[in-house]
Amino acid sequence: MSGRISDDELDKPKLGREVTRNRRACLEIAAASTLANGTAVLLPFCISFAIDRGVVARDLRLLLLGTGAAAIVAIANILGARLELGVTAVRAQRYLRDIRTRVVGSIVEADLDLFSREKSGALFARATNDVENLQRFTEWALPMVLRTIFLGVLTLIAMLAASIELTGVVVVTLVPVVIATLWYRRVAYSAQVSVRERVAQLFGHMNEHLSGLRVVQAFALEDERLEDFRRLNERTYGARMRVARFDIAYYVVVEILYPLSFVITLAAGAWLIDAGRLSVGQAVAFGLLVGRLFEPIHMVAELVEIVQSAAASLGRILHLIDQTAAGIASGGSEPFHRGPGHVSMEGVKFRYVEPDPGTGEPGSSWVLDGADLEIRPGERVALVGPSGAGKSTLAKVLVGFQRAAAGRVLVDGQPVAGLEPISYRSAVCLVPQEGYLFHGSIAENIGLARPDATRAQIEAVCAELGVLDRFLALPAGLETVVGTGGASVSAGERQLIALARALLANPSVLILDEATSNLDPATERDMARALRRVLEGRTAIVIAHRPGTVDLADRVVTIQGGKTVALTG
Amino acid sequence: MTGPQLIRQAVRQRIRPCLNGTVGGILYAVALVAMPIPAGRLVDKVLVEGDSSAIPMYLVIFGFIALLRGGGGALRRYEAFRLSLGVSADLRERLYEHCQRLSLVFHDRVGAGDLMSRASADIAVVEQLTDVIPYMVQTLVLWIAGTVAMILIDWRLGTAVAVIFVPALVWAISRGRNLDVMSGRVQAAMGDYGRFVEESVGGIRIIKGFGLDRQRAELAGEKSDAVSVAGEVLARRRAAFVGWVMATPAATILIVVGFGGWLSTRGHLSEGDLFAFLQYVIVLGGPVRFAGHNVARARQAFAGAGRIAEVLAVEPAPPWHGSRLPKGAGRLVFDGVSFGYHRDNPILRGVSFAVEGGRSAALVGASGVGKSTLLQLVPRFYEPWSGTISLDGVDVASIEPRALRRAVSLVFQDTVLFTGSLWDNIALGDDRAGDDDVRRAAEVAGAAPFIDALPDGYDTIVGERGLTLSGGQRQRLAIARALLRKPRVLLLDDPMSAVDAATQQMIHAGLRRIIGGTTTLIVTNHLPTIELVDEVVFLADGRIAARGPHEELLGLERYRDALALSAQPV
Repeated sequence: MSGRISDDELDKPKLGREVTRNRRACLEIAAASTLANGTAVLLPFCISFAIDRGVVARDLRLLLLGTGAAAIVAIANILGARLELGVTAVRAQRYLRDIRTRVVGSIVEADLDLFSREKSGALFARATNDVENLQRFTEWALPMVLRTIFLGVLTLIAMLAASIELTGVVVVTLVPVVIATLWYRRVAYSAQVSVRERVAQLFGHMNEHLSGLRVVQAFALEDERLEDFRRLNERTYGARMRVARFDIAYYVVVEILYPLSFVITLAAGAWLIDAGRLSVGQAVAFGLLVGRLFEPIHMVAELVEIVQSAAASLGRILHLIDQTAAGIASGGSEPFHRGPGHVSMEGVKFRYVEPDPGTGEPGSSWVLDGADLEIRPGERVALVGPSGAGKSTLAKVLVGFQRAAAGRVLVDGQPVAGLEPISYRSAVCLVPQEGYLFHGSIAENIGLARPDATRAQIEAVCAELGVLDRFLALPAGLETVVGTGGASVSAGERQLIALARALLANPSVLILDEATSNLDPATERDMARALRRVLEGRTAIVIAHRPGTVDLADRVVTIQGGKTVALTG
Repeated sequence: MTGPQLIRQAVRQRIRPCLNGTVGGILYAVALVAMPIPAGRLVDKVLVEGDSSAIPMYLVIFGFIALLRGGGGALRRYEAFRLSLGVSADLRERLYEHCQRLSLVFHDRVGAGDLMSRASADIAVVEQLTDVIPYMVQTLVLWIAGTVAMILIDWRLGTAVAVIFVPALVWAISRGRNLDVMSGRVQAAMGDYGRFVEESVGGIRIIKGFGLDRQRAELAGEKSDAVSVAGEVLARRRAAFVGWVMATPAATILIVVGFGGWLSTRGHLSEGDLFAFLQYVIVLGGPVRFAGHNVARARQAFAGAGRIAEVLAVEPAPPWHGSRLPKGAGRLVFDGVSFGYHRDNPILRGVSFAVEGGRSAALVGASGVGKSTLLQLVPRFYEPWSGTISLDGVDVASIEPRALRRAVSLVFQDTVLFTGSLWDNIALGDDRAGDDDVRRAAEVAGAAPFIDALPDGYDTIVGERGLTLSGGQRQRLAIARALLRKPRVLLLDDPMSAVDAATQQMIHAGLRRIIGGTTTLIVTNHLPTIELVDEVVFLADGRIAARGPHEELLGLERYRDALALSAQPV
């Protein structure tokens, strides 16, 4: 576990890579920031000139000159700030776009292993919450961080130019702030980690119990689950208040120090004026500069949180991208040459967890332990066996979702492991038990399999399966919107859509994994008849435990203990 | 209740921190307004006149101001945390508690994802608003007191500054508020992108299966583009806004240096006063930037609170009261029950039948005919349009829902597991359940063999971060969970779907033992299960097409057809 956390951390090489990748954007932001903050530091000098030469010396012309110079600097400052914010925001937006595209791209192009390793919620969070965290940083914190750094450095330079002694005084008064900042960074970090954990727990509980509310209501569990929720809510509040108390402690140090730093600086200034080493205007300018120095320090408490959480998010995102990039590289690149659909598996072994030589962790037991399967082109085979025997796993290995640890898997004489997945999977198609629907019309969901399919082709496929009338009877026919936020369709209807989708892809090998299990007996019987027709000339593997569907097959193959036993049909 | 009303109500519940924070904010504002006065005197006396004997006095004065600043600021900030974090915790609990009591009609329509976004995003904007309430009061006090102080020091320069400052402030607030109209477009693009990601993860096997990875990755670029394009427009407008807002303090500084400097050369104003004015315009100008932002934040919070109030306004159904459970053996009577999910689409049209206490019946019929719906009417997940369902002679609509649901156990078709151990998932918080009870329930449901085979047995953790169970294993857990409660009526929704033959046999053996004593109603088209029950209720077109023992109904062609029996030898 500890190993994983350090993997996710945003280390220097990772950050360095991102900076190099976006070198131009970084330079532009730095230039705009210099212009904006540089002019901000110049302003007090114009004011000090106007007061020294104009007011104190009673010279109206120089007062006008000083004021004019201040006006020019102020305008330059406004334009600079506008440029800085614009450049930073636009550049940041482009970077975020790039990051989002990279994350989602790496998720969809990753090996399916990723989805058995990581919870889908975590992957979703990488592409949404973590990116939002980065956005919060770039929108809010990045200009402030740059401002803090630039103002800090430039103000110090300006102070040094005016008076080294007085700068020394200011710096000494700042020592407690530096100590407080270091302390805050340390304690706040662990406190924030515990806040994040508790918030995750709270929302996890909420999500689970709102999605499973029917069970809560069915068993009248409302009161005790509310108790659990209250406890988690209370703990979350407690953890957040703990962070708040650290925040207050830091804040008080900064607030109290500003007036003190101011009065000490001016008192020291008075002494230097006495000694003839400082003008009144310079002392006044110093008073203003001290204010400038404290302005960004006020923001540090807020910034620390945003920066730390953004760094953690970026670390997690980059970790995911790196991880999946490795997965993609291991995929095959041989294009698949479509043939008549000859399937040949020999001595195939597979297990979900391979032993880890590093940790000595043993692997899981073999799900497939030397499975053989030989299917002639156009033959229909039923795969039966007890649950957990490896039927679905065999199907996943055949379509290349999982890679066999040993043995040979050939389709039309080509080893599946080396094949480029996209060309291969358009010819070998798996219909799983749960028909997943994307937000969109039924026609779009079916058409997914072939983006260039016409409406007529989609209708023809539905008609061939005998489900067209059923879809047309829905309120908006094939245009009925389904999926997230769409009309609710039954599990059976989802399976019908999934079957139509698969048929539209026109595969030479079709694998039905319990693909008709949610249909009622009458519909299933009709579907079996239709399938008999549409499977004509295709190689098919049917996984089912209901007799009606098994009847489709020319031959029954039993799988038991990870091995296959062929039976005659 | 409207959004602002809900916020007012929530703040009133936490009025203490709100008032304390406001007091802190006022103290802080006083410290800010007070500081330039001694600072100006300090410049005059110590710097210009060179009177260093006054320094100790100023140290004391500034020490006092520092305490006021630190104390007032800390009070405001701390109490603002208590207020805002408290309000968000309160609202979250209220929302959760209310959602628990809302009927499944509501939850079918709204969905957990929507409620989660209200509980997180909408409550977050309310939290942010309540966090700045004391700050907004502080700012208001600062602006008014600061302007008065400037006019008191010198009415000419003070008025000149106010003439620039006040209209600029009004402009900044109105302009900043409008900025957020734009962010609606960003929100919409974000929502679209979020759904895209969700589907990409959820439907990954379809994407992979049809070789759509590359296409999907390109589409991700487009969705991401849409967010960034909207975001860029907003960012440019925001940058322009901040630029203009910065012009306000800059203009007032120039007025002070130019006009103030001129007044000073004429001897109307000391250098110290000039310095005090400079400090005032800087201190007063600081919050201008946030003013528009805070007004926009208030608007967002009102909208967010409105969305929470919307849920809270939905009446819980059924209401949590009613008569006690009648005594009896579990006689279940449906009398002319009609129901549909949509007003114009009735599913059940006058269904009447009775199951005697301890007897069993199967609901058979094509999918979509309303079998599961009929089951869910019994524990009052939905209310019939007309007709009644009675348990042991009492209309269930008059029985207190929680008592009813303890007596009537419904096993859903798909099983929900909560994060926790298998034991917890079977016991489901039933404190009276002992180890033996849980084991016996698991035994009867046919779950014991697979649980005992697990290395951690009943302590195995399942759920989001736990072990993944197969459909058949989950189904058996759900049955065990229902049996543990020793229900008077057991309702099973298609327990044999998604279960292989071996598991079916195991569940079957269990059912055989249960069906003897408990009133049982099973939705199924599974032949061996049908053969197990006393009577079959065959539904077609929302009505009972036939009822009686399975052997009798076999004579009906329609019945055989529904079970797809004609294709096979009977």
